[in-house]
Amino acid sequence: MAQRAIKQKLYTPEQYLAKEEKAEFRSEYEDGTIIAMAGGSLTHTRMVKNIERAFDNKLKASCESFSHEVKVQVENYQKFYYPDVVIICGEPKFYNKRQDTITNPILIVEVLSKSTEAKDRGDKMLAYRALESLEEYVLISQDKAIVEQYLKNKDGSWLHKATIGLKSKVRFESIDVELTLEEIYQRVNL
Amino acid sequence: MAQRAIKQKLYTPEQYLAKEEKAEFRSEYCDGEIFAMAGGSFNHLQITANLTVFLHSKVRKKGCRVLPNEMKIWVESTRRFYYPDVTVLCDKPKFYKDRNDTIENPKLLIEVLSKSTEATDRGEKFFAFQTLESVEEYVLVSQDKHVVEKFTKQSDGSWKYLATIGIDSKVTFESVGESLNLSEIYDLIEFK
Repeated sequence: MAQRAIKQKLYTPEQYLAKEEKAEFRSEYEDGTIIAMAGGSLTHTRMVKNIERAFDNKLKASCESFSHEVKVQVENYQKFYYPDVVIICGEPKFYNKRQDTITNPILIVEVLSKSTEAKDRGDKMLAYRALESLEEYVLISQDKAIVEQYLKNKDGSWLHKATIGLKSKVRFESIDVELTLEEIYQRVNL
Repeated sequence: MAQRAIKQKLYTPEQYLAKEEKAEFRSEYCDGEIFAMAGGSFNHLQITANLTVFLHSKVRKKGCRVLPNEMKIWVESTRRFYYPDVTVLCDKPKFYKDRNDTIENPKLLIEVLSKSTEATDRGEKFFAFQTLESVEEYVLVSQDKHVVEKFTKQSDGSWKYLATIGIDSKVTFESVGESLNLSEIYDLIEFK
């Protein structure tokens, strides 16, 4: 990527995690590079809350949702990301026994914003597809009622489905939960 | 998109096409607005050339053809004119309003990704191209790593996503039943 052409200090995962424990704002980690995260807009934050609240009401007892504070480590690609919403079913597996970083999400949701759309659709999709536990990756637009799902197939490919319109419902197959787009976009001006 | 919030002069498709005929560089059209296209980097151009050449020789045998990045595609549903990096056409061309510079029925479209257009290529264009009945496959090729991502239309209207990674791998374009080695797509390419 363009910005990486500039020589930057490279960090080990452990150096990144140590810095992250003391940091005032969150950063993600990609193969040695630490990347500060922008704060979310009111709409972004509201949507993340809507989604988490709706999930929490409907999730099976064995599953749990987290937002913002939990890091996901993708070993093959040396990445640490903070998904907007992440769901784990069963016992969490931690990276190096650290309580703040998990390695076995079943579903990850990103609410798209202009500044992160390329990465959410590109680098993150490419990395997350390598997570054995992950069965579903969901991208939700902020400015239109569109929910996109990537569902893992047995052969390593993924199925992309788009659900469009506030009157629609979307079924998250990996966790057996259905949400209406009205729930997701509650109090959001489209 | 952010830049569209600024009030801009709006053009009709015909005004855009008339300007485009005389323009020195290409622009795309989004529902009234005209967006100049940046020139491609060296690697972007080489990968586009590789795809065009290697793919054309293969699909030609099947009655298809490859058109280079001067070919405009009209997407009625979202009122867009796009210049894909590589267009594969297998039927008789269906021209927009009998103009010979714009078609409406491509089968396979390929974009070579660059940082400035990645979000559009992965988001807006993917959605727009999905609405073209003729499009069966949409492919994204990275220019800074050996990665080819492919969306193939399924009978239920969903799209199958498959990423092919590594210079020794091979990608099959199901829409035309032909494969390319990544060593062909990335021939002569050196990453920084």
